[in-house]
Amino acid sequence: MSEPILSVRELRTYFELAGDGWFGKHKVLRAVDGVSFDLARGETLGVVGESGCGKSTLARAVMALAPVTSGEVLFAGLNLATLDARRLHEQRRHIQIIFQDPLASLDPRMTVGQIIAEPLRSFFPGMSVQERQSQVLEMMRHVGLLPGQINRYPHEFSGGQAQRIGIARALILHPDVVVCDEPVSALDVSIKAQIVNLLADLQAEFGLSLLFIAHDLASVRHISHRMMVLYLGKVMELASADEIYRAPRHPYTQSLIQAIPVADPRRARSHPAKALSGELPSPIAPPSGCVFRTRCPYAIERCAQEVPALRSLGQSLVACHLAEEIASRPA
Amino acid sequence: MAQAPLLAARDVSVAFSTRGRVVHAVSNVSFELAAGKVLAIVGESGSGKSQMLLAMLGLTARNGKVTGSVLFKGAELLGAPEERLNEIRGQQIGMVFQDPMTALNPYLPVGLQVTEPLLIHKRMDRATADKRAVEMLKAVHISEPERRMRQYPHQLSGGMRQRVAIAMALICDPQILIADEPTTALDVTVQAQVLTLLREIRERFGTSVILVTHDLGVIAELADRVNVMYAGKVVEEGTAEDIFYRCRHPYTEALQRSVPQLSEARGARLVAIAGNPPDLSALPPGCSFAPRCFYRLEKCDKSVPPLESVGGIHAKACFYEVQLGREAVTPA
Repeated sequence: MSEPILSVRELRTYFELAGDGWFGKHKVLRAVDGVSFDLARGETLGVVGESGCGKSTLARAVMALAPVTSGEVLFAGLNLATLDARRLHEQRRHIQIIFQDPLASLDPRMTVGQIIAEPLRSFFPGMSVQERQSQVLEMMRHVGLLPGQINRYPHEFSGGQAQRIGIARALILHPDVVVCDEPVSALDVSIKAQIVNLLADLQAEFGLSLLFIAHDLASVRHISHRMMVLYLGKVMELASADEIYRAPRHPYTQSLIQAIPVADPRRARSHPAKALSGELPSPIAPPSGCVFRTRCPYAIERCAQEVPALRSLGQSLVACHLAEEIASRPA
Repeated sequence: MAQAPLLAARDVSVAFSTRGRVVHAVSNVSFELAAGKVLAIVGESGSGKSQMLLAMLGLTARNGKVTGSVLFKGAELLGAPEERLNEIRGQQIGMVFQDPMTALNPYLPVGLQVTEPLLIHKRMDRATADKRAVEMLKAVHISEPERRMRQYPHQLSGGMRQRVAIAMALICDPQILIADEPTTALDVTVQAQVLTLLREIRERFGTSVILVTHDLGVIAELADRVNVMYAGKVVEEGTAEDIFYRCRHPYTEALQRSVPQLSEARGARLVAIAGNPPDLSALPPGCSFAPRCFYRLEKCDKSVPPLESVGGIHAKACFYEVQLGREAVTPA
């Protein structure tokens, strides 16, 4: 494949927190801690992990909406962090985002037409009203909104319809990369499928690259070419979606898959969803060595001492000292 | 049935009047809950599942009108005086909601909240109540329960908060636990913890559970009986196996097919249900699902299909006469 459209190298986003009391030591929250990946043109990379694993901060850091403590985000070879405000603004039209809560991310006082046209106003202030209107209508058609809905307000729409508005706003500038931050998590089952299908169609139509973030493994697997599993700000595993599902290498990936209840009563009763023991450690004081070791059924002494590097194993990248042994063990 | 059910709802309807319109949130819903069983109510937003629960507990908003009958151990709940309902709610019927943070008071330590029902309903003294609360927190697998008693909700993780909410609901040994989307706001690993816990509770205490959810996986794990609701009506009911393997309502089938399966490769298209759920103040004259139905017949637009038995406790409200689902027998 050609050069990746998005290249993330050793990305770290740390937040400084106030310490205890006036003179307490500052604490550092490592939301994203050394994440690297490439996103190819037309590819969907799924990002999964539990709340607090850093997936939303990663999305924001990629968009240059969250601070980058160290590392690089290269968009088509350009390091976004080094650009001045004007040039960063120019680049923004190529990377857009879709949010989880469609109604919260739409201005209730603007009409659908105004919301979708807003990026055009911002990036092409000289565009004629007629041209803007026609582009908005065209995009509304693409996302399955009716022309008659252009003067309606967001509150008149259901969650699924509102998400279509958010998608239209993200796509109106014909970006190369769309970051989807839990785009279907807040939607009802029957509507979720509509939006997942729509995103797949739009990707094919416009050749979009998607960074698809969600905690629902099945939706992510459905839409992604490759998947990245995050835990406490670090990459645990990165592999093709098929590989992640068929041969999960990292104990954390395995636990995530085993925790999903199957919609099949006989199987669900013979193999109930398996809970991961323990609680998610605080990202302010992550465990030494491998961050997953406190909940890992295989952890040995070495895991507390050495941070496992993300390394190749078969077709996968995995950050686990014991990956080979675990893989050869019967499940 | 040999034994009277613990809870029996008959023809319950809930309607709200707002600005001259009548919203039919629940229409003629009936069900029975046997002791020690799990009844799942599945449906999407606006299907009436939460309004049904609120109506049973006398918690319907003031502009709502509730009709029908809900018998709890033979005594009528609908229209019962507030004092009587207060005795039942929290004591004989415990409740757990979707978002544990809104169920817990952020200003009070966990211990005070978990013991409150004991102080009110059982008139226990503080020391005995504290002891009982620690036991209950242990039962829901909260580590260091004595220390947690003094902590505030924000100091607990989401999964721990939901387990505290469950402990609070169970503290008076209720006969029924109502769980309204108890795992929807949780991560999958935490959800598995809560599911295991619900299974244990039912085995250990024999508690009956009414579980409201839209997650078919959760239902497959726990439910004995399933009611599928759409636009305020029960469209299909049966055992978990009836619903998953031999469903007879197109909506039930569509729900199952629209959920992405982990075993499916990329590219397989999800079978989405076209359109949106109907406006509950302007329901179509016939079947409410007809406008979105794949199998729609002419009469579906004209008359409402009644809920009819198709064998045993399995019933469907649909004119279409073919078995759907994965064990469907293709007609010759």
